[in-house]
Amino acid sequence: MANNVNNKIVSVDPERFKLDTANLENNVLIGYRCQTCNVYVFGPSTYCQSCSSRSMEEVEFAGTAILYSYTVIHVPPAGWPGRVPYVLGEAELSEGPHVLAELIDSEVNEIETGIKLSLTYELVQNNNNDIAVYKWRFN
Amino acid sequence: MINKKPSRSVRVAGIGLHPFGRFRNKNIQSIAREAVVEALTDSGIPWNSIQAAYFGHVYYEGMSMGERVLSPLGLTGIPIVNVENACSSGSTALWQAFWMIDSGLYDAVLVFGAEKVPSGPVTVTSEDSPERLIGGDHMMGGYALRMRKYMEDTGAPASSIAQVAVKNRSHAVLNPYAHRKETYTVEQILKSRMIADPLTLLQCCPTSEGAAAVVLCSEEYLLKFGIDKSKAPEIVASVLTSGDYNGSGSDHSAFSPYRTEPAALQAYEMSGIDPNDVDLIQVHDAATIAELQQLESLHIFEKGEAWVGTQEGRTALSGDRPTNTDGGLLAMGHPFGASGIRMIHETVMQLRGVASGRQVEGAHIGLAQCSGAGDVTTVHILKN
Repeated sequence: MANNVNNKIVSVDPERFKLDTANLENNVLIGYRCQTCNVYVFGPSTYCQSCSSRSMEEVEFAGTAILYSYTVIHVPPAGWPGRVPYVLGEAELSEGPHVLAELIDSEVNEIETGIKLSLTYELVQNNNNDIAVYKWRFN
Repeated sequence: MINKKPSRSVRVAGIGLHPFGRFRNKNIQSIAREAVVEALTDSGIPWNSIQAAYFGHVYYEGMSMGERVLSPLGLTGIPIVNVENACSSGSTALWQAFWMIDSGLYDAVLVFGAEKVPSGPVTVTSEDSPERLIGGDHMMGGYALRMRKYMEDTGAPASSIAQVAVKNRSHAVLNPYAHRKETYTVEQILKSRMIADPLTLLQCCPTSEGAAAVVLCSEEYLLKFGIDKSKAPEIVASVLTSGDYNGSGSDHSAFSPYRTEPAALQAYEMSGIDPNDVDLIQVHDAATIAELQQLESLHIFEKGEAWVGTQEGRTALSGDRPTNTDGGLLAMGHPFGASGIRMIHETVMQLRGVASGRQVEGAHIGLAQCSGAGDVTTVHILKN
């Protein structure tokens, strides 16, 4: 995907997807780990989602997951800028939380639950920005 | 969690329903008003004896919609509250009204819900949300994720899940209020337009417009207004819960599909009623798979078994666990704020014995379960 080199690249959701603009291959999903009960949460977590502890530690997820379930969306909602149909994958991160995102770069006949996934991204153009959106791909 | 049991007898004294469908020449205020007036008339309680009103509604069409609906009835100075809890807005309004009467604050309350849902896929977030670029916010997509997982875990064939739609459509054939009254075979359901694989169009509830209303009152007001007790079933459980941590941060996740279960357990505990005592069940069948997983959450069937019960005809009108007796969301349609109250309307019709064409014989105890993004669940149990 070509991006305009003059465009600034921003994350689709800085609370969930942290960019390494020097090397976009190193983008990571982020969240928190509860220091009291060890539960991991994807995205913001003011208190622990499981035990309400306030001892939360920021984490960067490894970006590896397995495919827990998936669907193929044939009728996307207004505002979806991407391919139609698209594969929506529910990934279970190695650390535990589930993350919904498009599954790309995968042959349809390779997709089944249980396959290993790794984190990737695509750029969506929006005015003067390129927005980096997190996606999954088949390992 | 509310561990308190009801301390007063709260009755549904009146019910009203505007048909569900598409009404391009009517605004939402007039649609809602028709249901309200019908409920007030049905109750026999005059408008100026109603002490509060709660209105369930999701989409913003300007402020103070409840007040604007009621204004032509005459604003009498009572508290009017607009309630939003996604698809559970109406049943949340009901929950509020119920416990306010139980507390002794009121004796007669109007509860109503209305919506005009535009066509197209339903999302939780608005169009400017980053979720629109990520692609995970798709209500039917979420049900499809659950459907695939359910089929893999239970071995349920697609035809058994589609059977939910066949059944609910068949219940609505003689129901003049239903948005959709056509019946289909399993093959037609499976071959309809693919929305989110494996969910086809006819396995998803229609986007609709409509309104429903009920008048709740105390036992004292039943006597005061000479209301026939046999027509005014008692609400014996009213529960509202929100989701707890399920590891996904998304309502649409296939992980942890039994989020109604805590509300169900509270409702059975509160009322002393066993799931086996329930004569008829209305559940939130936004998609076919939803009916199955809600029935399992409600302990009407064991986990993973609801598809078998459906296949065996147990959830049909003639079965032992009749479910979605008026056609449910799948056939009635789903105007968000109205649906939770529509379920109460149907339950009362059945308990009164006047649900002609779809009457469950000897119905005494009815359960109504409604879900909403958030995620929110309500469970109500009525008894006469």
